[in-house]
Amino acid sequence: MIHIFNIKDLYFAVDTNSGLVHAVEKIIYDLLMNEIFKDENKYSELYSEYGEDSVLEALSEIQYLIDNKMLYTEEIKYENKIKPVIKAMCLNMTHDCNLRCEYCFASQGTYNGEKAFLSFETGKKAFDYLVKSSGNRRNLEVDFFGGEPLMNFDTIKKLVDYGRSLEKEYNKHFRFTVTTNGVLLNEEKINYINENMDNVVLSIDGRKETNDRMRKTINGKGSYDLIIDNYKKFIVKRGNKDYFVRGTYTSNNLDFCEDIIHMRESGFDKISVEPVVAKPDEKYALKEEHVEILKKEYEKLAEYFIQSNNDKNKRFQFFHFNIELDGGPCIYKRSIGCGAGTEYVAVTPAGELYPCHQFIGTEEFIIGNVDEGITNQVVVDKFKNISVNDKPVCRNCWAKYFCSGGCHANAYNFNKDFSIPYDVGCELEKKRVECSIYIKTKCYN
Amino acid sequence: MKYIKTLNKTKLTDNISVKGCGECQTSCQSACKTSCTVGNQKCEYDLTQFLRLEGKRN
Ligand code: SF4
Ligand code: SF4
Repeated sequence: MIHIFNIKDLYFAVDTNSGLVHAVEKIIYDLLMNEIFKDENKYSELYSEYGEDSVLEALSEIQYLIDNKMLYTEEIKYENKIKPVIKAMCLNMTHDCNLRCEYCFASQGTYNGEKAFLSFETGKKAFDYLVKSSGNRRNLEVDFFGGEPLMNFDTIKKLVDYGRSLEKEYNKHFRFTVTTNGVLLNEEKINYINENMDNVVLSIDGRKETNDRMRKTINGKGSYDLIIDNYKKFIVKRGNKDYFVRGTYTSNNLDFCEDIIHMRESGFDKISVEPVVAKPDEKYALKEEHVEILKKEYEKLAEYFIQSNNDKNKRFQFFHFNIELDGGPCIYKRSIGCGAGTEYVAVTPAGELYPCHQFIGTEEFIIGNVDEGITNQVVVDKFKNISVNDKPVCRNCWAKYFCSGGCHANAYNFNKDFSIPYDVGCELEKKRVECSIYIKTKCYN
Repeated sequence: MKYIKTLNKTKLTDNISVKGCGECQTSCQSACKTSCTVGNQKCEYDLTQFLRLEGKRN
């Protein structure tokens, strides 16, 4: 399987099964289009445009790639060597929040349930479970999430200490992350987070009007003014360590590139902005009719990215434009998918385990608890057999080894079926991969 | 090659007998939390080997 595409003046051919990406001249692109290189009657029509010699030379280059398994590579047969074990955890420190964001999938922090705080005891059991379930994997990931995790900051500190004590005992390495709305960030918390968190996700949607339309206080006012200075202070102290300012775009800001420009101009240089996950009947949901506009917006963002990259004071990272053509994960990892329920679980303050944060609150998805571990194998099995090559749509998708099969929660929300990915999400994912390849060529080659 | 420049140095199918340690980051845990993508992650293979050896030495 191959995929050809073009952005502005550049042309590409992606070979799905080998993962190779070829930057090609337009003559190659034209020959690969509808596979006309296979039919002399058709490719001879290009002689008038390119000259016969050039067309024949280009044909021999295509043949070289095919002969060397660099184009139209067959799917290799392999048994997945990664036997998934639970080694990553989303720990909901609170089911409560000090903001009332309209699009919150967690129903303003409570996940349709009671307000609650995770106790140190429950957190401890969650860590013990993680260490035990992870077998011989060394790297463990914990994201302090919520609701708003900083409302339960003292427990986070105790849990980090507890995690560190387990590291030595069990030869593990905990990688801690916190995802916050920024309202409670003060000097003390900033210092603590900078010292102890490997990554920090700071939520903000971009321009003040974009942010305030969705991210509101309990009194219905915008939150931008409450957080922006906290974030600016935070990143000054963060130095070179990882963080991301992270936003969500909805049908209200289809021009989300302007929000990213705003973030960059506010001094942030690690930015992630994602499409909203919403039920189709929400007025801010992204629909089929928005796809073409959004694709153009990603191209616009790619141009802005390239321009900024030329000036070392303006450079930034955009999470979804990072692409590893050589140092990326192996094919096994690329085919198992996001890991929800198989290597990743979310823990509620009550100690229940869910396949991931997006399923919390839908009780049929409870897969266990911190005392007994996994107790509902039936649900876990549903998540086990949906690797990228198990899903018919993904199996035939050129982007499958960049994407790994999309978000199961999205698939479920839209199609009530884990094996049918959310098509708007697919279109956007494929466009982002194309833009990342384009950027890679423009900036680094 | 006059008309084609391959951007990667390695294929996904290279070294698959040694790869597959499973130590790399769980994709959704990173900066997105809503959309899966693996193309932008890093392989942790060498690092892990190194750390394991270190662990044994200590
Ligand atoms: S989820 Fe969509 S974009 Fe991703 S591999 Fe499947 S079909 Fe392709
Ligand atoms: S189901 Fe979606 S939200 Fe959950 S871990 Fe997978 S990609 Fe992330």
